[in-house]
Amino acid sequence: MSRRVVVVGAGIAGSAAAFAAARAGAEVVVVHDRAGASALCSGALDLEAWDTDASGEVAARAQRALTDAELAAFLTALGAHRLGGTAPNGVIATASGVVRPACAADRALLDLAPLAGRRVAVADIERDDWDASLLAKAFGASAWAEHTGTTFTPVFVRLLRTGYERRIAPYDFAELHDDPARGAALADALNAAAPDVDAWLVGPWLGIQPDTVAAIRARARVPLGETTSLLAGAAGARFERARDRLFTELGVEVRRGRVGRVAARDASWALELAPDSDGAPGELAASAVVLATGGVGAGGIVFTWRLPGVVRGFELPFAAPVTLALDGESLGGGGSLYGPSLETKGLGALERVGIACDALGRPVGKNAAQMGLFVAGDAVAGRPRTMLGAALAGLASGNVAAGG
Amino acid sequence: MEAAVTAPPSARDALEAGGAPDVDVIVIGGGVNGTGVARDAALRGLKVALFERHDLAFGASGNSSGMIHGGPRYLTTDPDVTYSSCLDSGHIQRIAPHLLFRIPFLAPVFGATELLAEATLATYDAFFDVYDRYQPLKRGKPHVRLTGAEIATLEPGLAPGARGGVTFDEWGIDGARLCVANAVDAIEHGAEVHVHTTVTELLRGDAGRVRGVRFRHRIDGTSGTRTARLVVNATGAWSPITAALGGLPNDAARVRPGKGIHIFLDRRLTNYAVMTNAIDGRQVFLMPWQNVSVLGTTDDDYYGDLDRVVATGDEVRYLFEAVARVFPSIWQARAIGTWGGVRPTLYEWGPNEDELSREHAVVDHAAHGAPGLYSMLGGKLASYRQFAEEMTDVLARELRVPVPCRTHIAPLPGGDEVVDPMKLVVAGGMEAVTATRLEYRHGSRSLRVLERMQRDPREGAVICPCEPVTEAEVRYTVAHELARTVDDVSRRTRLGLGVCGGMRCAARCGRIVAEMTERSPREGLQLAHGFLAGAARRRAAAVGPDQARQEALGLAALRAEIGRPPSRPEPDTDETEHEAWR
Ligand SMILES: Cc1cc2nc3c(=O)[nH]c(=O)nc-3n(C[C@H](O)[C@H](O)[C@H](O)COP(=O)(O)OP(=O)(O)OC[C@H]3O[C@@H](n4cnc5c(N)ncnc54)[C@H](O)[C@@H]3O)c2cc1C
Ligand SMILES: Cc1cc2nc3c(=O)[nH]c(=O)nc-3n(C[C@H](O)[C@H](O)[C@H](O)COP(=O)(O)OP(=O)(O)OC[C@H]3O[C@@H](n4cnc5c(N)ncnc54)[C@H](O)[C@@H]3O)c2cc1C
Repeated sequence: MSRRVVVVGAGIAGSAAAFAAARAGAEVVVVHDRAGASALCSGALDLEAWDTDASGEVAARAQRALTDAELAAFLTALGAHRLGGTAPNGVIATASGVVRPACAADRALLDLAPLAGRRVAVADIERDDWDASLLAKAFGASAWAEHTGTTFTPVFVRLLRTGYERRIAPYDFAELHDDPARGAALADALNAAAPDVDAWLVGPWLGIQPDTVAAIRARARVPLGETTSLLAGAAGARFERARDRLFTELGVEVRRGRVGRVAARDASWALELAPDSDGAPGELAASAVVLATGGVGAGGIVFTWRLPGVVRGFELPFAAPVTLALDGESLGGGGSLYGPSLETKGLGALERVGIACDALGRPVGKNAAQMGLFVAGDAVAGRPRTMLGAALAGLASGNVAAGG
Repeated sequence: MEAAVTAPPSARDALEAGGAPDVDVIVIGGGVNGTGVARDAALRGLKVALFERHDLAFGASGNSSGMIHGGPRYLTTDPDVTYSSCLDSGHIQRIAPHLLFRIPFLAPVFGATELLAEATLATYDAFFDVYDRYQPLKRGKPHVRLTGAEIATLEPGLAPGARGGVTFDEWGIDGARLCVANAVDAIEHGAEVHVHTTVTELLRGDAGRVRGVRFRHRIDGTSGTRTARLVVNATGAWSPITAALGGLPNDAARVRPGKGIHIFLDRRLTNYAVMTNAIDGRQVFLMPWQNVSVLGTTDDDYYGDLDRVVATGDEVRYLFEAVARVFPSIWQARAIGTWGGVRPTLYEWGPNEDELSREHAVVDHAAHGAPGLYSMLGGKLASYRQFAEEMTDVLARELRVPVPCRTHIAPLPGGDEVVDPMKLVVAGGMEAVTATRLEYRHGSRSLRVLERMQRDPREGAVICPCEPVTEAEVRYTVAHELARTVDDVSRRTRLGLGVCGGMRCAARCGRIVAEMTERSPREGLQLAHGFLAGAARRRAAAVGPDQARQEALGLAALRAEIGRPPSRPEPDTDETEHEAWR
């Protein structure tokens, strides 16, 4: 009988774990709930947090990670991202006016690296959340643009159909272009607006279906692509769709719902699901479990009042034989009366907190009964919060979980 | 409240012998008292230069509870103060009608027994009967005594068991807008106002006379001197430090600094501003304001850094615990920000912070061998106009300018005419809430912001969706209201103070400010960093369960978009501290 691996969480870590475990021959069930960080993210895939003072080392390490065959296989199967691009290190533009490195990114993002020294047009449309002329100025004044002699020019594009489109949420505006007619009109408008530029940089508007961008590009005369998405934009939505397609291809069983409890039973694991909309609580048995439940931003860890208004602290929102840690210290055993203070730890504590694990992603501090329980991605304490970091951890734990 | 002894006239003549000074009056400090004096003096035809170290309203004036109260606390001890407070509240309404909003208060009475509650209610009732006599001076409504059942209907979120209560009426104001309005009017009457320019030394002349200041511009690093016939120290809690810049003795301009904090909650929880007592018996309140609620305030002796006043977890808890007793669902509300300020209370040894007088005094430092220098100590937002008038009377007498004060009748910028926000909706294509907020902040000058939008419809873009704030308004504050950083824009418009914490607007606002002040886009991004780091630091102590998720997402989003803050702190911004991010 093949091993049954239950992956909790369908962010990039959970998806990678499911991919690896399925490829290793396990029967895989993914349980997930609302959108996590992967579904809300920018579209850039980093290994370590990039820095405004970034040294070449960070990029080099990321580049090396991308040569990992399994990571490449996973991202290729997911089919939503571009790895490296044509130049060795990808360069992207953010929605906040910054040009920055990103060794891999959502396919829809414009890779600036091959455009070094060329003329990039920034589509100037009348959206309230888009100031093309100032953005172009900011991109043009970036160290990269100055170093490579790349220019950014705002070019007016008549794209909006109604005044209403000026203010709808970015996600909804992107979704309009999934309509093939609207997508084609976008390409035509760009072609008409400036026939002689080398590339078009647009906002995160190129559809929430992963294939929309290819259709638009096929019609456009020059390369075109997006900036990053701010929180909850098109890039995250495209990740979710690509992921769902991957699960179908892998034959992974997907359950929508919250896990309420993960407990060891004999030599295996039992998971209880919170009652679904029909009121039916579910139960799942597994030979191994991967917790890829994300961090505070995903709701995988909560910051809560423990007694009504008395103790504030971090908690896992489900029962599991693991402990939380912050900055190397376990949070299980109390601490100060009021829990860790964000005032002294800094808001950054919200990103450093997680499940205490060893280097292999095994939860620490418990006994052998825990064999077969793994943790990956943002759920792990103290790990950099990045897409590639989470994907690599997911692949590793999926493999071991399937291997037994 | 006693005014100053005037300096001997000979001192003035001595100065005159040394060459004509640049201006008549230098005012140090751009709080409500400093801008108030600058305006009053400029209206009387004096030549004024004002220096503000950070931004207008950076200190207590932009961080107060903003109540233009009629002074009920003096009713039993000193009813004359109540009378003059109510009268002045009426004046402020006349000169800046757009900036005032009515705050109906509710003081519920719980009481251990019916009898006790009845006794308390009777006292309240009698007290407010007297206060009601002064209410017409400020267009206030008379108080109403309510039964427990009525209170439960009016304020359904209140803990059960209120045996009764009273309502009474006060007015509120946006203190930062008040300072800006005074400064703009002073400028329009010929004053110079230098923001982000700190006074680094008081220049002394013959016989110790203070004859001007040395200053340093904190953004571009330049420095210089400016001379004046008279110098006014209106630096609030900084007053003793400022006096020391001229070598005056430590106790020459002493105040008892009292820190107070407020918390913004993400929604309107109550219909009334609900009063209750904290664990130590102090009165605190939970007040609805626009689409949010404000929880305040504390009062503690403070000897920390005045340039960096931040709410602590202890203070946040103290307020939450106090209000939770009468309003339990406060635990479900989301704290989206805090602000803190330091009251420049007149110095007195001994009394408990709360019993300290909130009154004011003009100190003539001739008494300390420094003629030509005056300090304005103490005071309240509510009495700023009166205090400024008293100070300017002294200046005018000293400079022999027999022009009477007009600040109680001359409207502040925007206060001359009422504008119907619907007009802005129709003419500018704004949404109603955008128009209402714009009109609140700018009064009739909202029409000037509207003009910008009509000239360039793209400026109608709402760039801060939480508040909401349009690009035209941001540009207006830079062009006409001395905003030089993202923090300054935020202080004037509330940009970036909503649930998203500036994530969606700070970078863009920084680009606009940088462009308009001829700085590079990179400096614009640094302005955004400065704002975001400061705002994160102000929120940290108050973050609760629901806000935590938003904060974590915001941190990730900002890291993706603009990277971690540069490891080198920028010397030219106010907010150089980045640890809140880590
Ligand atoms: C706005 C934003 C921008 C970002 N930008 C970048 C970037 O530019 N570059 C980069 O490398 N990284 C970026 N990140 C970080 C990156 O997105 C995360 O590190 C990564 O997505 C983490 O993936 P994950 O799979 O570990 O967790 P998540 O994607 O958060 O997934 C957690 C999953 O767990 C599920 N879950 C949680 N609890 C339960 C439960 N009890 N039962 C069932 N399911 C549960 C959730 O439904 C979700 O599916 C960004 C993040 C955000 C939020
Ligand atoms: C928590 C709190 C709640 C309050 N609530 C109310 C209320 O509800 N009603 C009411 O009427 N009053 C209230 N007050 C009191 C009121 O806010 C203050 O009394 C009033 O604002 C003081 O104004 P100011 O101009 O003297 O001082 P500030 O507003 O503090 O101004 C002083 C200015 O001087 C500047 N400065 C300092 N040093 C220098 C230098 N060397 N060079 C140049 N500039 C310098 C500072 O940057 C600052 O902007 C409250 C105060 C606090 C703190």
